[in-house]
Amino acid sequence: MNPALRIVDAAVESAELPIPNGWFAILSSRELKKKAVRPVRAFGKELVAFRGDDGRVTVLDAHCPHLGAHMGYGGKVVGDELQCPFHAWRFDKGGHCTHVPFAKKLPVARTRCWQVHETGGLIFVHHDRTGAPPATPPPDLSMFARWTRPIEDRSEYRGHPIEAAENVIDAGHFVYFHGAREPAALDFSANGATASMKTAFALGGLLSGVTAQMAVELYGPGLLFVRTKLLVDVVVITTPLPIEPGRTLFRMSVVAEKPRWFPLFGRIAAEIIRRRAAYDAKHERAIWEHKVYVPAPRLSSVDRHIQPFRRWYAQFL
Amino acid sequence: MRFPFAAVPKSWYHLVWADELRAGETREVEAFGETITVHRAEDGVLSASPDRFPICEKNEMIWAYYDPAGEPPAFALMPLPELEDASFLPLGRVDRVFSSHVQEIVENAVDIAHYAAQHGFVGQATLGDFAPEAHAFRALVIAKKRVFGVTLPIQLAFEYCGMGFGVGRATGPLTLSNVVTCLPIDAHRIRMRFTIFAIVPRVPMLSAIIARLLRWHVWADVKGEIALFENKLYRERPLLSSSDGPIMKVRAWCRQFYPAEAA
Repeated sequence: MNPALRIVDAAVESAELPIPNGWFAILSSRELKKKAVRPVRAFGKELVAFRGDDGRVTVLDAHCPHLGAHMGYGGKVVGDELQCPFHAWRFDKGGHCTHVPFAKKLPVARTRCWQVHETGGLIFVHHDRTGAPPATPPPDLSMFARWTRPIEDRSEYRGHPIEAAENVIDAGHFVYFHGAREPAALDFSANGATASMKTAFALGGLLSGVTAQMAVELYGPGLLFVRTKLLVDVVVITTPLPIEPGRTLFRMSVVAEKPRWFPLFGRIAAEIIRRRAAYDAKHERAIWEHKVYVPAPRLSSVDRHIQPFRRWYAQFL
Repeated sequence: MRFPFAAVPKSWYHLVWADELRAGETREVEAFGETITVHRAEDGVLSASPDRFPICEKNEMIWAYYDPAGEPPAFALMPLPELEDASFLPLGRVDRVFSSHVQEIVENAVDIAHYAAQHGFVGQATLGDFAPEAHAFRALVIAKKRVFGVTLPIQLAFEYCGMGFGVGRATGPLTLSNVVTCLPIDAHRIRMRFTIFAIVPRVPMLSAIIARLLRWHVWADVKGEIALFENKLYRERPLLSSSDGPIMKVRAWCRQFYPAEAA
């Protein structure tokens, strides 16, 4: 039988990929002010994030080892520690119990502590299914420190975080989703936990004749930059977060360079790109929501980057 | 599975307050994962559909008995002396549906360590007495509590009859009884109801104000706890400290209301 005529049966061939290992943004810094406590759902688990008096962020497993209260609902920050709402047990930044009201002897109690790294207005934690320490250093967004303040756009979709990353190296879809006149010319290269891709595509319609430049940098499964130029450099910092198997929080933070000739223009450029990215994401989400992940896809010559990308991504699964 | 036991232990459960079902009326109640229709005929006789569950009227409430094996009721409901005592004034009712299990509410009564963090008790509450007997138990909690900014000594006597019917009686400078009835709606949700009585000075106007304040206080006291119940995890093997109440003893008492596990 000619394999090209094989019918792909979604029910048989779609695969549930596991939640990947790596650094993922769970919250933006603005969502966690000093002394604030927030429940976080990520990696199919319940977590609690809090910011102590010293400004440092701690992320712990949410349920108190005592009688199981979720400390993200009603928990309080006392100094640099988290106090459970139920019986007022306290936990330090390492997740160790430091205080039990009226107890004659402190029980040896601990809730899991997650590795946290806060950078560029985002709070990252490291996830590993086996509990292994991070193989890669945490993301660094300090290069954007002098750029505009990030403007954010968030949405959820049903599916794996790989969809958000695979999408940017999918040349064929630029025609249908991003106004390209023909499939984008792509240049994909992988190096360890990072990968990059450059593309130039001719726009169609009203912008016919204009060539859009786009560079994508992927840092593990939880962070990718989409760099584009609108007189100034604009970067869409995209951080897909696996909330639970089959559910992803898609967060975009748009930052732009502040040009010396008109610093405010950076803000305007970032807002234009944010709108465009949010518009595209909204339409693409409809695809992501309902598509299946086909492990052995039928590819055409346009799609030659899909398999190298997947081989690179497999190191996180 | 959020809880390591069946959603509905065998017990009597409060379906509706008696005055919600007058002669000739019919009401639908969500209970035990289905809809139970209760009807009061013109002659006052109660009936329910489906009719698998024995029903009765007691303590100004209409009850249904749930037993997964369909056995007849293993115990009778205890009376409420507050209803016979003219000095007690009915203060009001609370009716809330949330995601939890009836056993969480039973365990909560003897969880003396939570009173300081959750209910404004001052210092450590002590358990004067925990006496399980057959289908009932009594427990006495002795503590100090801040009520409207004043620290008062308080004794809280709990009495439970099965898993769905408990009374907390506060005595001290203030005498207040809270009848706590919990109904399992389905595998995830329960309906918790309070019927509150108190002895308040019978002074026109003043007693109405006191009643209103106390009712507000009882509700304010528990509303923060509902989010806690909805999001907590049931720990089969909790890590207990010396300041905890007889959590494992009350769990042992609860076990009688579940079908014996297949060996």
